[in-house]
Amino acid sequence: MKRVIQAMALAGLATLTVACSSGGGSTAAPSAAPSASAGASADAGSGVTVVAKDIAFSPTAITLPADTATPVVLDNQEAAPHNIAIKDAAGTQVFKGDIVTQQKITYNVGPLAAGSYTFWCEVHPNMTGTVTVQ
Amino acid sequence: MFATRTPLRLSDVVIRAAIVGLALATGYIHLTLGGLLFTLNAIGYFTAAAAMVVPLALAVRFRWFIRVGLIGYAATTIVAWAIQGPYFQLAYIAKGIEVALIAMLVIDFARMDGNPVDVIKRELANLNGFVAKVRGTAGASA
Repeated sequence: MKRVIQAMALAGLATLTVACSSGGGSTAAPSAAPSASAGASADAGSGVTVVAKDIAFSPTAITLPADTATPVVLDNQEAAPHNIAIKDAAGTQVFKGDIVTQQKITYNVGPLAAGSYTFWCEVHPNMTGTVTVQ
Repeated sequence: MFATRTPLRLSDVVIRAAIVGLALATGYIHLTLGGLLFTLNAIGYFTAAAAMVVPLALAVRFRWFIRVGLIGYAATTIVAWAIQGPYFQLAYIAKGIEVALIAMLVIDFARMDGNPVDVIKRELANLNGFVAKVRGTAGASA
């Protein structure tokens, strides 16, 4: 049955010509080691790692330097697809990363003004965390 | 309990198998996405796929309703995704499968049930007959 399902999925893929839309600047290069689960902060250039597992982020609070482009690593450790998107306090999306499955990906998050932001997974909107930019 | 089987042509079987396969495929994709909403969506597709082929008299009698329900279910899934996203490769594959599923269901409905207006008229007539029968039974026992 699984083969039949996979065959159907492949058939669907073959019939589709629509390309995947992805807006985030990202690379697949591995990066920094995982941070503590309570929170993680990044100096300019060093980056911060967020782990996605069991339909949840860890840590759920990260700190980024203001006005500085910073690498943010998403370490998706499960089969479910995840990404990181960031919106400001007004709800405006300021960053969108590529969706990955069982993969570690480094997002290049552009300079952000100081303030409080929310990051979330676009596939699972209940997966959220906070970004403090200071 | 089990329905009297009407002979199906090979094309009927192929269409029915395609419907079940497509429903299982998109259900499987949703299952891999994780999370409660996607899991429930997958269960819905698996249930509908079973209902399309189970030889129980009730399911056979209301197969037309299962077809319409599955069309609505798939269409709702597509519209919800179009509104909310996210737009990534696996989602496009799932939506392609669901569009194909709807097309196959429409074909199956047209072949097996005919004009939907006639189906509605027939079911309304059956419902009226059933209500009259129940009222008659209730009146006789009073």
